[in-house]
Amino acid sequence: MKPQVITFADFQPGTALGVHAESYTPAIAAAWKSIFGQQSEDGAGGPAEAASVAMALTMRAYLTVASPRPPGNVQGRQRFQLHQLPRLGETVSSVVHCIGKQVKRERLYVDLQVQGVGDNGRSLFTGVLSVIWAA
Amino acid sequence: MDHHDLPDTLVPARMTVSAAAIAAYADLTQDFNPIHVDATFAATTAMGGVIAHGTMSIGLIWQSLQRSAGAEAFVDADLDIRFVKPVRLAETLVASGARRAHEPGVYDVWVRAVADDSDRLVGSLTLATSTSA
Repeated sequence: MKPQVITFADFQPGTALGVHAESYTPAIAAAWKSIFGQQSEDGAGGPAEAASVAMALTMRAYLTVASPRPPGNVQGRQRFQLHQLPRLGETVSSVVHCIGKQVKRERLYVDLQVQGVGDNGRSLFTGVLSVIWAA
Repeated sequence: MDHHDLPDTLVPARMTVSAAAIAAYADLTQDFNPIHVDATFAATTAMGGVIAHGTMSIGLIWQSLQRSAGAEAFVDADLDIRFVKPVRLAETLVASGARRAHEPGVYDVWVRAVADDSDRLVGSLTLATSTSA
């Protein structure tokens, strides 16, 4: 049976939507370098790359856990607290929570928090995506 | 990190948004929303064409921060941004930031399109700082 599309009504602030684990792999690092540059002065292999990868892993967790989504969602805001940088090869486990929702000027706003933890439980990041939910 | 060691302006970081970059970012994030990766579909939408992922531009802010303040600045960094306008294919973007005069370690940050100097995203970046004795 096809899973039901997640609608605005389905979100319950304070509840977890799920957990997703991904590794910071050489393929992910290579994808970053192909966009932002191969040299150390571009951030390759350094903190700029790691911070972007942390944000990418946030998006991967959100897209995997909050699925299926209605077409037409728009992200309006991103808050991102970087506690520590992930390391190449590290596995990051991300928990996604709904932390709030509201209707404002006829738009449906949902706040989703993504907390990433790395090896040995070290806290890596806390992100909040504010999304205008389409349905 | 001592806020006295931080620059007033973050070193700019630039990129020109190519289809290859958008495709690579889709792979990086596993976000294959057709608005980003399907030119034929995107042309039928209100956007009128492909737009880049919003968070791709944030990568430029991280580059700007590394060039300005090094690895130490990333620990406990706190970013809060709003997406103001979509980023179009072939746009050249520049990211930078300006330190707030009375808030140590806090920068107003932005990513702008070079062609019309208009914002694509704006917000704040707060760095964990201390005041030296």
